[in-house]
Amino acid sequence: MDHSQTHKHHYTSHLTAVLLVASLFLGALLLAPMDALGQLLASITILIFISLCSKEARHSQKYQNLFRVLALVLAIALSVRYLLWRGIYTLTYSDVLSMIAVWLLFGAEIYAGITSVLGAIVNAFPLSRPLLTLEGVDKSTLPSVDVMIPSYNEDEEILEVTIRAAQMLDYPKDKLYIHLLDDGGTDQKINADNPVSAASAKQRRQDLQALCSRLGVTYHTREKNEFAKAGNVNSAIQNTTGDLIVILDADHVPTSDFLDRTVPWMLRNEKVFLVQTPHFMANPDPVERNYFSAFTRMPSENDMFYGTIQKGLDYWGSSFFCGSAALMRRKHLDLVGGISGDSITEDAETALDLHKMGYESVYVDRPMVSGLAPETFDAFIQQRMRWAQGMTQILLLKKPFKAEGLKWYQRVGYMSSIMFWLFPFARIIFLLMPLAYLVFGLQVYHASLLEIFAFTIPHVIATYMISTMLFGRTRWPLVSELYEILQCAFTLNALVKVFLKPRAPSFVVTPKGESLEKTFVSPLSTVFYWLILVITFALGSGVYKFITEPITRELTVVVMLWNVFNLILLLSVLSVLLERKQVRSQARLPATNSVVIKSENGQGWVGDLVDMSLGGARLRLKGEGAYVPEGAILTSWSHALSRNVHIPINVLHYDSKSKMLRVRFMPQTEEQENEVVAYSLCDSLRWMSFQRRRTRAISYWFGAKHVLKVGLKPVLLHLLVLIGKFAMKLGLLVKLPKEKQ
Amino acid sequence: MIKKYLLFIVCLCMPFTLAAQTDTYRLTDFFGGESTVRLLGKSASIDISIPLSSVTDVDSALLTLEVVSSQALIKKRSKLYVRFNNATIGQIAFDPDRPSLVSEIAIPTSLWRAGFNSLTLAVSQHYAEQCVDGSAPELWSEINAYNSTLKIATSVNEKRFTLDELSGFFNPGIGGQRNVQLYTAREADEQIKYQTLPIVAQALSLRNQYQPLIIEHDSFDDGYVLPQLEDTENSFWNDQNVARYERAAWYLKAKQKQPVHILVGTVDALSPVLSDEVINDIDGAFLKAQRTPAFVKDSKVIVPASYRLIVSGTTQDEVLEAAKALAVMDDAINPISQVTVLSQSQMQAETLQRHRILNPDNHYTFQDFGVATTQFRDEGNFTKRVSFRLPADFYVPENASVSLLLDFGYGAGFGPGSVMNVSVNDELVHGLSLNNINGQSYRDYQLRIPARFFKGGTNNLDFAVTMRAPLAGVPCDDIPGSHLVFQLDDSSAIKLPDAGNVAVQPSLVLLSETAYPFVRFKSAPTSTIAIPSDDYLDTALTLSAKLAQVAQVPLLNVKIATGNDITTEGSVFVLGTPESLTNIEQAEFSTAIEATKRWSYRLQNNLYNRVRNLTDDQSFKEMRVDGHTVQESDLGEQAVLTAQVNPVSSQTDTLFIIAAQTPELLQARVEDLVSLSMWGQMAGDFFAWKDGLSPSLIMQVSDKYEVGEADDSWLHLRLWLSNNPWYWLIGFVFVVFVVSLLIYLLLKRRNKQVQDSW
Repeated sequence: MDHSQTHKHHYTSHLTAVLLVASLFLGALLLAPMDALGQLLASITILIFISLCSKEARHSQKYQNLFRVLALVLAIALSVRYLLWRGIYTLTYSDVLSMIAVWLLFGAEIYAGITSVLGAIVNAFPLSRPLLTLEGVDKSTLPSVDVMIPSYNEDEEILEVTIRAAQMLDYPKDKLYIHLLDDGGTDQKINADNPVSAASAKQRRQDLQALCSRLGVTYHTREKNEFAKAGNVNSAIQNTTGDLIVILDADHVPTSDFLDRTVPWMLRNEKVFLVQTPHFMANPDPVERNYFSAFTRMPSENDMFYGTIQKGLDYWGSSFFCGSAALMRRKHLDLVGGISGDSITEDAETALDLHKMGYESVYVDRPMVSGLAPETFDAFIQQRMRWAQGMTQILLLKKPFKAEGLKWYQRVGYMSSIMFWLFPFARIIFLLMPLAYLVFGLQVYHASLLEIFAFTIPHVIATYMISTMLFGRTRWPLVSELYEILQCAFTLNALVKVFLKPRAPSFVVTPKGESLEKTFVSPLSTVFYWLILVITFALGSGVYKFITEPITRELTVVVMLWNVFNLILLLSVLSVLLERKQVRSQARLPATNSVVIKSENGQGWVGDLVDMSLGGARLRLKGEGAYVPEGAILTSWSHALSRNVHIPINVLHYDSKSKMLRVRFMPQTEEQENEVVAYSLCDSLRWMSFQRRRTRAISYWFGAKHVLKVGLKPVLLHLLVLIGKFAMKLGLLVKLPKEKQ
Repeated sequence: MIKKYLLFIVCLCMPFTLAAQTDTYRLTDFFGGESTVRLLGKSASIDISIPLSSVTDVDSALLTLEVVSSQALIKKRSKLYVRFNNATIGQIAFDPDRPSLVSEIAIPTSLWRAGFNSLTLAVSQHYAEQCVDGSAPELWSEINAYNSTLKIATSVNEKRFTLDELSGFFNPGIGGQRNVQLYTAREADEQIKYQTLPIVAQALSLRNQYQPLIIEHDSFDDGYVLPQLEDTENSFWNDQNVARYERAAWYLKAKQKQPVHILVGTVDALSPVLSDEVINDIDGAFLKAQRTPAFVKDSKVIVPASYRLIVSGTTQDEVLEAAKALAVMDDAINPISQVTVLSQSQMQAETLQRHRILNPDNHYTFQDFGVATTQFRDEGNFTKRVSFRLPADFYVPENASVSLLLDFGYGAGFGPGSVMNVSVNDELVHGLSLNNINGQSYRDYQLRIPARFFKGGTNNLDFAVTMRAPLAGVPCDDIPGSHLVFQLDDSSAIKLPDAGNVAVQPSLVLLSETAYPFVRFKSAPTSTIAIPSDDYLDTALTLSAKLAQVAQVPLLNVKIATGNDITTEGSVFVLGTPESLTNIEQAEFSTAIEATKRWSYRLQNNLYNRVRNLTDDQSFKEMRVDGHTVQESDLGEQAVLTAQVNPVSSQTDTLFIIAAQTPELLQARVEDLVSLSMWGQMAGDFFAWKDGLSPSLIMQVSDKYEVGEADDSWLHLRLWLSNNPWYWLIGFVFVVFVVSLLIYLLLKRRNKQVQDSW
């Protein structure tokens, strides 16, 4: 350590010491007792400060980060004061039942407080890395790369697209090896007792082997399906030799610049074991599709994680492996015996193991892999249950909060990510606790109306303000609540199982690429109907309580408002459970490329793309009176291939009024197949501009209004379906013959 | 010799003649509530308790009732029954032709008993011979309790005078004393006058319970001067007559009307008026009840017979100790005439004050504070009021609650409409339908009531029970409700939360209900009634006696001070005239009473100076009184009582000022103020009145502030921060800024480190 480093270290130590002393002062101030009226005045002033600071923090200016930290500290302090007040003054109870209810609620609040503090630390200073490239690097010195595409039961078509895209990665071909890791055609599967599944597995192996042979990539399979995805990858690692390993899920299509943007980070720092990139979803998840129908206009669910949280984790050296769309160093993976397999979220677990050894991770915030989100609510829940169980397994088995080798901030990072997944406990308590008071008369919240105004409401407002400041661009208001409510009933059950038997859960592959041919109500809806029924009953009880118990009217009103909020969220959730028909098998995403369409007879039309998918595109033609024959060739510049592509198309429809032309891609040759993939899916610039478009800043009230507005519409539809079901049960409605079929 | 005996008999008779008197009371004097009592239904009744002093004999009593009855009532079956101590003394028939009547009923003297006598006015009302609907609106009668009177002739029955009879003489009932004279030697020491006399005054007023006691102070000379008697032979003043004259209370002033007077002073100071035997008995803190004979010459009373209480000792401290003993004494266990107090413990002011209240963070059964098991029987509406006192400065966090653990039950056969409602300080907090046909019994039936429903001072829990018999289901066939029974057990309990000792000041309401801030419960700082001169001593003593009555304990911490300076310690009551008040610095007061007056007229202050309950104020408007008029004027007949923060106190304390134009007017107005009708009307912090009926003006003119006990530093901090949230806020924002800046610097450094590693 040279002199300047020693000096810096001392300076940091001094600052830390002063910070600790100042924090002690702050703690004393937060403990200071005050009447509700005084606190109300103070809280209102603090909220104004938070509002001003967070406003400044959202503008690009010199002290943006200072204002951001100021707003965070103010809000955390207000929340801590609230929790202290709750703990010191309000936890009174008269019987065992009340005691349980009071502590459950307080426990849930403490959980929410801890997660928001951890979240604030993690996201205090998101790291923005520069965009690196391999340009200028001697190609001969580049490390060899194995691209691994693990598969279990995905369709051949999905795999073909991914393989084709991988083949087009902008990297020296002699250093790029692509492997399809088939776990659906293992010896175990082929020799299964069930002859039907054995035959199906055998067929799958043959088909995929043929595909690999056709595309010129290596087919891997293994004897037994041990340790799920982790076992599959580890098996392949043993049979490959590349310096770096790219792991892509079967449906994860890389853009051509994926290695160009990620490998430089490996070259710069030998200690880097992982370069993770965002998972860009090319189709809406069930919430986005069913609820908002605004996939292209509002941020996707994972935008918050990849757009904000991973950057924050990256700052603290704890961004972690997300299972796919990542580049890893074989040397480091070998140190931990490959991908870890203790939990069913092998990705985060592997990162944790390597972070513990002092190796570093990098997060490159550029969408370079497009994947498929689960289409149905069922599949979505299955995926989330796996994540929740896996993260809880890491908590229980690996105990990151006391893991040796991790720095304190890395522990905070991991705990923040893991703690989030315990939300079902808190969410269920927040949903059902009003019942304890309104229906069972348990005094769960011992506070006067004035105190609620002075302590509780400012705490809630501050939490929302900070959430908007941190995630305003990537998560609209109330969306988190909706996602949590949707998942809580199911994941709670899954979490309890993990707590009882931490090693029990097994990896379940998330079904993707399912088609939705008609609109239907999700089979998982029943639990929500019950919840709505119970909460509506609580509302009725609240009205009765309000009339008959004048002494507690203040509290009754507050709890009823809380209950109504829950009810609105639950009613909004109904719209997600209405699985809407999906018209296209691939979602069309916006595009802006200029195109030229030429007919066989040499006629040409010029236009601009409006949107595009792997199957086709929609474009607006320039000029009047266009007539395009049914068959034509679309020519356009492909950023991915850095050349023009010529794709045969079929015209589906032309609207002369808007001059919109809908076309289907009709590739005839292998080359054209590749061009279509490269043109439609391998351009990271297109994904970036699309992502920027939907992560715009909106006001809190606009977002909340929109979310509630679209959420409450389909309630009627649900009612009709329910009434129909009842009527059928009662025999009032005869099933139509068509339905019987 | 015969003459001597005759003289002696005459002397013995004198007390009776002295105390015999006739008074007329309105019935409204004996109960609080509407002056017109309306009795509804087939049968209804009202009980009126009439207290009678134990030393009083009733010679005659005549009850005059003014009644109006419904013309729908039939004569034969509709009657008003008058019962006295459960004996029917009159039956008045309701005559539809004479709906309004005045009836006189003599109450037999034999029915009277000491203590509370129950006068029951019960009606039986019918509009038909059969099938009378009990809830029919025409079944009513009214008694005008204001115009109905009780004329009663009484006389004192005590032939001997012992200490246990003190509670008979000083008694809230009929025959009790309403004023008393305290005698000291003319040159009495300051401690006697300003410290001991207030305690004696309080001791006596406490025996009067709620009835005001006017205190007058007088003095006697070192020696007597034999009166000049007309037509007296020179030989009349022989040794025997002089000795007789010495034994009489020769120092009594002519205006003496009440039987008992008090002598207060050291044995030396009292020696001119005491006999040698008594003087010889005084060898410590001394109390003696003594009857003095009349001095009569030729059937003419020269000096009347009297009862006197001697409060004495060999030193001033012993006199003070004797006064304190008198203040705490349970008279009933002292059927003797004299007591020498050897020692006393637990006589600190705050200890005594705490003993009269329910202390926070404690659990009390109803039995603990003297509420017995209550049983209601028969059909009807019943109310049980449970009163208890909380510290005046009862201060709890917003969310604290009081638990009521009720033990009660009701018998079988309750009909529809049977309910129990529970109210706290007239606020309905709980209702329960008594609808189990088999009856039900509850143990620890818990009601959690927000503590803010309770206030410092007297709190009332009302249990209103309506008991209805089941419906017969057959027309004109009622099931009698004699089987109905409801019981509220004395094992019911109240559980109080922990509380601080803080009160919002200035508040005349709090003063009138609890005597706060002169009575405190955590500590009892010395408080003062400041008077310009001894001319105001009577007024000060009367006021101190009233404060003790309100607090229900002697205020050992209250003393009287003369002079112009206000003490810097504790709360102060300043009595004076505009001239004497000129010495007080009133420049900062919203209202000032000096030679020139500064009044905050209401129109100048836009509603702010209307009276409002500061603690319940939900508007949170900061109160500022800016407008005022300075004028040169007299106070006229009226007196003004103001309260504001004590400008010279070392801690936050309250300064009360009572001013009238002259000392005499001040005394008269204070006597009005302590009356039952006026004292309860005190409110706001500006109170003006000129008679004993109603105030001329009540206003709130000062900023509020909180006064608390400083020994609890946590509470002190809470108070201070609650009064000054901006200080906390500034400190908070500053520390948050420092913390944020440090975090920002550290984050920036780390960011640079990360970037350097690229």
